[in-house]
Amino acid sequence: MTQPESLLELRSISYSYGNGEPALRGISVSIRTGERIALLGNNGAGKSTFFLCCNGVLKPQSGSVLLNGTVVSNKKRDLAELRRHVGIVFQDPDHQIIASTVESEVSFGPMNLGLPKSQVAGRLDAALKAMNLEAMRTRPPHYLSGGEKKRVSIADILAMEPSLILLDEPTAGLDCAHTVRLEETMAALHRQGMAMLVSTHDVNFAWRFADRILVLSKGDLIADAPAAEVFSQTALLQQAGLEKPAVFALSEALGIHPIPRTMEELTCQIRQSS
Amino acid sequence: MILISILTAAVVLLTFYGWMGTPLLLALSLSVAALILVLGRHHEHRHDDLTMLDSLAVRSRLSSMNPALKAAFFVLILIVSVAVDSVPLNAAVIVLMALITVAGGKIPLHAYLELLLIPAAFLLVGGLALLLDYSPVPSGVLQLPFFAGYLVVTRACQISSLVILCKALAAVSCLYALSLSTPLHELIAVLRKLKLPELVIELMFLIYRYIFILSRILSDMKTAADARFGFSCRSAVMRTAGGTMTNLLILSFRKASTSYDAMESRCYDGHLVFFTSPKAVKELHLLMAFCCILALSAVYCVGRWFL
Ligand SMILES: Nc1ncnc2c1ncn2[C@@H]1O[C@H](COP(=O)(O)OP(=O)(O)O)[C@@H](O)[C@H]1O
Ligand SMILES: [Mg+2]
Repeated sequence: MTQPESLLELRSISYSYGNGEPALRGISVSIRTGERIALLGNNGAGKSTFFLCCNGVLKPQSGSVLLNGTVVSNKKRDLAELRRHVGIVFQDPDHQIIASTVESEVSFGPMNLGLPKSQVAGRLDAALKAMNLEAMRTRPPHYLSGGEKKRVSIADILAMEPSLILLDEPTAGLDCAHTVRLEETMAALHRQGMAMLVSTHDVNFAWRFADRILVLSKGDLIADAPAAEVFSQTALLQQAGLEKPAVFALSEALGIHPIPRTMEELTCQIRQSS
Repeated sequence: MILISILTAAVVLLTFYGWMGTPLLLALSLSVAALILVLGRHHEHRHDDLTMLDSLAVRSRLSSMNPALKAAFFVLILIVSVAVDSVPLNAAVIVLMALITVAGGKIPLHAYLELLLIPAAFLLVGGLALLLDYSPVPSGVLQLPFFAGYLVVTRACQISSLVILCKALAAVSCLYALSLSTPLHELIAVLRKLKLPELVIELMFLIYRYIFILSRILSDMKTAADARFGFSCRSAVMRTAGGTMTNLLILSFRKASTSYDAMESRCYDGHLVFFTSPKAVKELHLLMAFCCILALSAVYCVGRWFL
């Protein structure tokens, strides 16, 4: 960590949609450059609301958002700066994709940043290359498969060159093969130093991916700790309605330490010890 | 389909009645009807009317051409064929558009004919109305007793009906040739260059995108309703249709709100701008367009001379 202070910090933010129960209750989180974080929580826990607050689309009713240590005000310039640094990949690509071809879709963000055309073209090429979409540049998004649309929605955000990407339930609706591809993509982004915050209710995926885990339950942040620590607290998981990752539970039962991340590593260790 | 083939046969029969021998004419109209019936067999399992045109356009080989050039070319021919009264010219336009679309764009022939059959029903009914006149005394080339007088077909009616049918079919083929070679979003981009109001353009872009999403949802809902016997009797159909429409409305509101969030999160500030890599106007394409126009002019002159 070259940067001592946090990239994005939320100080006790609360948000309510105005129909009774608040969706978020006094949440404080600080995210540093290059971190891999999973945000766990069941449906309706407030994950999507949390993301929208992180990038200024929703204005928290109390608390403040800090970008690189300075408070983000309500001003247009501040908000644009926040959105440039923090990008959201929405859960349903069909909600996010608005343009009629892949290339115009991916260019939407950079064009909004007011960059010169040549720079937009450069970023567009890079983002399409990173998501392996070059062959379908001029294709309309509605003729793409689910996995391809997901890649387009990620390329959308990559083209804005953010320092933190928020992915809202990226594995929902993807089959096994596409999930594996997505995890590879995310690993590659991590190697490039991108900070990632991924919401999910898939604990196995979270355990494979994340170094740090946040747990949301009915609008409360009930845990913020390294992954191994969170998953060893059975009571906490029960409170949030989550299960232990299979590999984690198995390794605990077998007394293996440190606990491996994937099933392959686990079988490898079992073979070696027997 | 059967209706269209009968209509076509009737229109062909009446239009050319008295121009050639009756047996030949009967054979001609019956074979036209049979041809339409045969070609129309594919008609039953069409998937999605709403999106078919566009998906064909995307796959067309001509979709890589400069859209402004295509739009200018087809609109020019459209205007000329509507403005000029010349059956040979219009017939040539119909053939040329079919060639461009099927041979040039590699659109399947049966798909193209199916599409042409949609306006054909309207055109044929119109043609029939033009052909038949009511007269108290027998006159013209053909008379059919009708109540107190006669339904008659006159030479003038035959000619004007032929001219108008050809004109209408030529215009329809031009529009089909354009929409089967150019995806709609490229046409919208051309309209933007023509300085149409920005609001209209942005709405067109978004509506174009949402038509696909909503039509997918609609067809899913229909399937789901069908699986639960939602179309089993008339009252069920009404109930299902009502429920589907309400749901679609609510869903589109929700989608619109989420989409707006997604646009805002990418710094949308009220101005919808995209980057598109330009499709250059190639000299070869210009040359081809020029040749087509030359050929059409030649047909027009020859038609003037000999008919
Ligand atoms: N647009 C909205 N209007 C009103 N209530 C909403 C809206 N979006 C979410 N909520 C409510 O806020 C809570 C949190 O929702 P959300 O953030 O979408 O949860 P998650 O993404 O974890 O499933 C839920 O109770 C949900 O019903
Ligand atoms: Mg959600």
